Amino acid sequence: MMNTRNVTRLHVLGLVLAVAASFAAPALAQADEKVAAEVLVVLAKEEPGEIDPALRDLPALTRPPFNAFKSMELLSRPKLELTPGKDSEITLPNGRKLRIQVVQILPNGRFRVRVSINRPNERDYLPLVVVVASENEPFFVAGQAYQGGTLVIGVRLSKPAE
Amino acid sequence: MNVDAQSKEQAEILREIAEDRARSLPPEASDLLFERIERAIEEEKKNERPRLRLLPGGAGITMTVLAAAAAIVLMYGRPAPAPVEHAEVTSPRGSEVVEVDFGSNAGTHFTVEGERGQRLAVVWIDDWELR
Repeated sequence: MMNTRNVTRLHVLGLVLAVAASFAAPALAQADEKVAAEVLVVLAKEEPGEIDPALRDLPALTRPPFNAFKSMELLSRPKLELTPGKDSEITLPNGRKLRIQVVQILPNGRFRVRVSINRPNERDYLPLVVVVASENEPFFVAGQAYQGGTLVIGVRLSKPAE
Repeated sequence: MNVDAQSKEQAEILREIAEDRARSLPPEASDLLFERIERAIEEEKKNERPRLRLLPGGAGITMTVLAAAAAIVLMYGRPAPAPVEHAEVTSPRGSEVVEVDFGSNAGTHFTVEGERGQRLAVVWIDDWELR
């Protein structure tokens, strides 16, 4: 039969577990929370031409220094579902790999993202970029030469629709 | 009559009685009364001690265990912070570069203005390998 002391100990243990669970729950929830990523791979050229209509919602690409490009073609628009803490990769038109990872979802809802560009069995081309971005606010990695133009990669993150 | 109205009436009667008594009190008696009040206040201040209470044994242990649990959870229950962190501007909109390593390449980073005036991060790397 349990005496009073044992009952008290059980209560204390229960309380401790409850406190621990309340602290740990948000961290576990965050690890499970997926993040949607949209990657825009754009080939920009200085020769006059068309600006892809799909890029109209990115007025940043019309501002300096991007306005030096007179034509822009959207080569691909892969969508990824990112798990915080895990790498995801897409292959770029030049054969390199763009690796992206949501490192953390900050308390204010912004995303801390790690990006690198490399090619298997070669030294990293762009070893590391860490960006903090708000939801649906893009960031760009540009400058890779490709087919007489320059690759402009835009990355936009959001929480998946429930 | 409701309770509020009754209380107000009683308070009014007490106030009137107190004022009558105060008016009828001779000045010597009044001074004496105030002296006694002041002395009593002084005595109370002198006798004041830090208010410490001894918790019963069980409660003390509970508090210790809870504090230890909270410390453990704070240390291990939260995601680890980013390993390297430079100055981070926590603007609520836009995007910004926190850290960049161009490796053996040359590059720069800057921001461009977004459609609502927010700053959007751009990392530009010089692709000398393929030029």
